[in-house]
Amino acid sequence: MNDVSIEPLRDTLDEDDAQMLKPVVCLIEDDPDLRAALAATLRAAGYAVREASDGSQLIGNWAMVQTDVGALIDADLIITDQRMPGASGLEVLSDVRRRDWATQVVIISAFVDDALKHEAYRLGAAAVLAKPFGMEELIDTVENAVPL
Amino acid sequence: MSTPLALLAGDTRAALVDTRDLDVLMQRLEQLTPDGLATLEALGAPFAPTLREAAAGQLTRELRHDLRVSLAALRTMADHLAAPASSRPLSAEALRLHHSPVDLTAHLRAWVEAFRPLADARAIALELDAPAPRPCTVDLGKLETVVLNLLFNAFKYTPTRGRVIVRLDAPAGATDAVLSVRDDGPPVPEAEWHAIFDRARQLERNVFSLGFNLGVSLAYCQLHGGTLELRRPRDGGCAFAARWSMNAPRGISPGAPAAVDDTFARAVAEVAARELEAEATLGVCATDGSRPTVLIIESARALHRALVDCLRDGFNTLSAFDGREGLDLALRKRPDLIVADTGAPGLEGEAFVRAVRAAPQLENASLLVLAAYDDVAAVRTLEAGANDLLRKPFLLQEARARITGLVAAKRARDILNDTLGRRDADLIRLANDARTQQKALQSTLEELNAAREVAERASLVKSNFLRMISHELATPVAALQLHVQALAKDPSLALGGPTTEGLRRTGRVSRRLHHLVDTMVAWARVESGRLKRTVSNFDVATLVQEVVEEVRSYATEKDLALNLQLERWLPPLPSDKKLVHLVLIDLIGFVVQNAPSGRVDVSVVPLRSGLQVRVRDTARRISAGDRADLFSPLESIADLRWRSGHGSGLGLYVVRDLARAVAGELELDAGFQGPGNLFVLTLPALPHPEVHHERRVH
Repeated sequence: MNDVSIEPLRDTLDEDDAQMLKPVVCLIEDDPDLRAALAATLRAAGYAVREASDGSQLIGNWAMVQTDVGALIDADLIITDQRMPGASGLEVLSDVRRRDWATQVVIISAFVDDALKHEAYRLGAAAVLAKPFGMEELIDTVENAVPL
Repeated sequence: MSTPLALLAGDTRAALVDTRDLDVLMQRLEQLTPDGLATLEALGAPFAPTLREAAAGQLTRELRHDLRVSLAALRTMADHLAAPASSRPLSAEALRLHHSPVDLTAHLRAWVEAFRPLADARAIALELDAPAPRPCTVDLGKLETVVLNLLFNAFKYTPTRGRVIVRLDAPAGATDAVLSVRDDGPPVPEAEWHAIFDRARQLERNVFSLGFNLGVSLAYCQLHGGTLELRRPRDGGCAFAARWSMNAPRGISPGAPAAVDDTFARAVAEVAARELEAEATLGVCATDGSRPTVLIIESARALHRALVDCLRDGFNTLSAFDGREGLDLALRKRPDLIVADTGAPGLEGEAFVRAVRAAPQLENASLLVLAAYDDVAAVRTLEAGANDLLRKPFLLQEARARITGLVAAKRARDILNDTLGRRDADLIRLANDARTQQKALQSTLEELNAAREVAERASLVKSNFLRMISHELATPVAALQLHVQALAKDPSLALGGPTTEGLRRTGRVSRRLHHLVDTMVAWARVESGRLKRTVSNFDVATLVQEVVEEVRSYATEKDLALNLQLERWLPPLPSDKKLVHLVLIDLIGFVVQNAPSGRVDVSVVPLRSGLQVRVRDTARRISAGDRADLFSPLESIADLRWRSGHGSGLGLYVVRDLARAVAGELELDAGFQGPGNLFVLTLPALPHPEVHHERRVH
């Protein structure tokens, strides 16, 4: 008699599908070493990361910027450093809000005080993260903003 | 009183109708000193014959006349001899009478003619109305003085195209002659009528050292048994009338007749002409800013000129002749002091003072009011705001002294107002406030000193903290670096892909940390004055090459071209190698970090002594305003947090301070044409061997 095998239900997503389902993080950080470290940490945690080094290039140009993993504009979360040579993190956040997007924004900064937090939350930031921070703190913040 | 003359005089009482002169004479005799009495005896001796005859009894009309004249003369002499020096009595010599036979008309004609040139020059009609030759016996000198005095005054006050009329009335048979001089000038104000005869009144003119003074002229007429009076003609102008006895009392032997001589008269006319000329040019003197300015408002020109003259030495003067003109001038020129005669027309007395005090530009000016001594209303000028009141007649010295005092007070107010930043006329209040302010400044100074001590201490605490923390950081950084380097060398680690990349980055980051800590330590030492330089000869070219290579990975990441250009031969540089390395790393690292794209060119060129390292980018040009901020240690934390920076990274002031610690300099070349920016680091050759402690850099 012939055995008919029924394929078992897949209980894991395959590589590509899994990739497509992960939230996309847009990372804006001018310091190359920190940017590399942040990206590596996030990727290891399962996020797709699109990197940028200059916020001022993005403001007004969101639609134009392509990374090798897709258009920047489609990110679900933006992580931006506050103090950078081009636009500041708050300026990026302002621009995002002006366009009425629902993208969450996390601001990282070396100088976090009440005034910065007040302004960031007023503009609708999801979180303000103080440098230096560790891996766990970073992932927790991101997961709260955009759960897997 | 038992002098012969006195007794004789007393004896004439019965013969007299009017005993006034005798009574006053007897009074004066009581007041005279023995010397005075003796002088009176001598001077009065010529009158003794008349007195004797009169006392004897039989009085004719002529004798009565002679007696009257004698007693008048004696009384005048006694008045002067008994008078206090302050009233400037005539001297004995001036009182002595020298009678001689005189043809009055001839002399009078000569004296009047001496004024003809002046009359012609001013188009004044000068008329003499005198009878045919009229002989008399008088003291010619004294009469000449009287006549010239009257003519002088007439010409001083008569305006151009006016008239001066001289008239001699000496009818045959009359005992007295009357000379009147009448002019078209302004009348003497009633309040001053008898004041003008005050001998002490300082309006003398010295001609051949003879003072002209109406008081003196009056005395001379009195010595001739006559008088000098002021008349106010009905149709305007001013007139003086002098009366005197045509003949000397009996018993007086006259001297020789004198020839007609107009020398003195001409001299007097010339003085009058000169004074008139000077008065015509009364106006604003060239002002010398260092001298105080006094505005004189006085319509009587002679007094006006006298005031100007007495102030000439030490003050600038401005002149006005009526109140309105004066007020306008004051508003324009802002004098220190205004001298105003209440009688000046246009704006009178109290009204003038009120107008001055109401003007804000004049609120600090001092105001001296001149008024006739019987002008009771003048006191109101003080209440209205005048600073002082001087009664006429006055002595010019007194006027000058008061003016000097008032100007000094005004200047003191000016200085205090300036210091206190106020506009106040009350000197006492200003002085008190100045004292209060000085005390306040004193206590502020003490507070500032205390604050400075606190600040210095705080700075010391911060310096110490900086030193401590930078030293503490050095240890873990050193450990980190060593671990990383060990890991990189460890063959047992499966290196590949992300791990290698991670280790590379870790190494780079820890090296950056190392440089930052080094910079912190060095700067802390410079800032606290504890830097010790170690000078050695080293090859800058090699050092720069090392730095460029270390920074290259950052440049490559950003697609930034990083080029190094070295002169073929560069001398070794005697300097502190560690510090120079730090400066190079910080500078080139800063430029690379902030250049978004393009290129960075590093070049090293030799100088006469030392080297220059030039780092140039093609980034956006740093504006002049940003240039200042770039090197400012005072950029606030708020800016660090909020604004997108002119570069993150170290403030360039740190790098510059370290450059200066090796006697070098870091500048942004403002003249660089671009594109981009050019940083120039100058490193001089240091003397060596050198061991010294660096001064504080900033």
